[in-house]
Amino acid sequence: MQKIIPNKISDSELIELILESSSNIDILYLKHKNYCLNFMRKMNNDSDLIQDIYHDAIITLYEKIISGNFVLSASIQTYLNSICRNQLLNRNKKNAMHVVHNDDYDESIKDWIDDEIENINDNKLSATINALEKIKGLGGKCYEILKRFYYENHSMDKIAKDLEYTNADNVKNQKSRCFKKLNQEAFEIFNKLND
Amino acid sequence: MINSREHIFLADLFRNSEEFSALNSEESFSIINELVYLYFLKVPIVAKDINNLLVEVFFEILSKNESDFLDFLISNQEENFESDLFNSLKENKYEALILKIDEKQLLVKALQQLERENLRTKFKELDENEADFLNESEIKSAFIQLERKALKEKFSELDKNESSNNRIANASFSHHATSDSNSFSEHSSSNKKSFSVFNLLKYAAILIAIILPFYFINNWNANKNQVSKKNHPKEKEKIDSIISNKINKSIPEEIIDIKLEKILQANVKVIEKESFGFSSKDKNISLEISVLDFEEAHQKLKKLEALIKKKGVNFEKHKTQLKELNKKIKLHSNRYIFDLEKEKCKLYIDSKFHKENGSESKIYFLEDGNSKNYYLKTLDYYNLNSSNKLEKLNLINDIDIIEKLDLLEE
Repeated sequence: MQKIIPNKISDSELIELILESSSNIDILYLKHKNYCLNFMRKMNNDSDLIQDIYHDAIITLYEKIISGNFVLSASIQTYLNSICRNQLLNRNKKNAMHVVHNDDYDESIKDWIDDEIENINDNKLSATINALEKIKGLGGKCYEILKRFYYENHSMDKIAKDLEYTNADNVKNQKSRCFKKLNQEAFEIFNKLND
Repeated sequence: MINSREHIFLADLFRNSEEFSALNSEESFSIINELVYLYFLKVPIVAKDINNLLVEVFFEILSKNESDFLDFLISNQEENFESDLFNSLKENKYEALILKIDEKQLLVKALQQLERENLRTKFKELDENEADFLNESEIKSAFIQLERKALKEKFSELDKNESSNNRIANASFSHHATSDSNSFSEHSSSNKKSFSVFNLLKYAAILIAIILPFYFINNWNANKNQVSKKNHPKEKEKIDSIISNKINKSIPEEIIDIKLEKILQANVKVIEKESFGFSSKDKNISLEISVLDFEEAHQKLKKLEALIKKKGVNFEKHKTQLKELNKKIKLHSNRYIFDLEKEKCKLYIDSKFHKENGSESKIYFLEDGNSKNYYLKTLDYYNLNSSNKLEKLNLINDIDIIEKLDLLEE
């Protein structure tokens, strides 16, 4: 079901919502999409390309938000425009002359998706990813606990509340078991990859 | 003599010792052999044959490198240890000590224990290393990759949904536009009539949509009322509602008092009074009756009756009055009328009367001369008719009676 985007939601409220639940990223994505795409269309007409860039921009912002130390120096729209513009410039240097010059972006914003992580061809990382996928496939709360703890940086209390555990200690114990499971799976997969 | 490996090790162990390095190798080996032997067999060192200084140096160095030294011993075969070290020691004056087998076994056990501990430590380290196979940043990186993939899929899905919604919206708009344009052209070509027909239909549809729910609601209510009217007379309906509100609640005595008094005053002549000199015990019984526990009251009245009979009360005397009463209020089975007394109790009982009339029930009537408080229990119900007379209705229980009385008052 498509989310209803509140018209007057402020940037800080939106960030709060995302911190509250990752599912609220839909709001972020849909709210700024048209403006960002139109902004990029002035520089490039490749709709697939600009769509990809927009995806990456949202991911960049999302990862910044959940990292817990993100301070928004401009509006979210400006931030996203800036990321999109920079990325488009990188990919499309030949058409630099078409680069728009207006107040919709902030040149000081240099954030970009960290490609290094994606380009790592490391057996250990692959093993970990495979192990996580396996754990996710098994169902249960392990994947969610690990994701919320390691990726979304949620506190044990928040995880306990969101995943309906009695208290943070229970989550801590469960997280410890899940970590061991992940560790074991990753270790086995890693050994197979290296055989 | 110790072998070359032991030599290297021990030389290494003592390499920082200036005093020791001053000795030639033969001397040093000899001393080392003795010292090692003494050390492991926990034999107090006798320094008369060895240089005191070297002993001190040995122990100082050994204390700093004990684990290394033990590792060295563990890593060497026991045989070698025995053959090289012990055989060499046999040649010197400590031979007698070496032959103490128990001490040697102690040494072996100590070494075994050491090795076990080392192995345990090693296994623990292996476990820890295994647990540390993944560190936090590695897990984070894996999550980032996974989640990025998932997010991109999600965004694509959102894009699809959005474009699909747009298509539907556009299609609907274009359809609307087409039909509007059609109706417009129709309107233009076939004059105002078609427009008005179209609009009329539209408004009719809207009106129907508005009216229909009301119609159904009204119809439903009407049906409901009809059904309820059919099955339940108005009176019964009201009683039901009152009963439902009051059922299981204790019936307030004052209500019963007032209603029954009204009925009785209107229909019953005051019966001739007969006084009984109840004892205090009897009076208590009589007072207990007033709690409207009729079954209990019935039993207690029986006792009272027996008591009265025992006292030789002449019931025949009141027969006429009771007959009169019966006619007037049409008493039937299971009816009891009580008068709650405080100071005096007057009891009218006619058991024979009913028997004579073919009824096995009994009538109990208590009356106080000062205040008339009557309580009624019956399976029958009496209503005041238009001529202000009681007529029997078929109702079920006490609550019905009481509530019915409420209705009568209205």
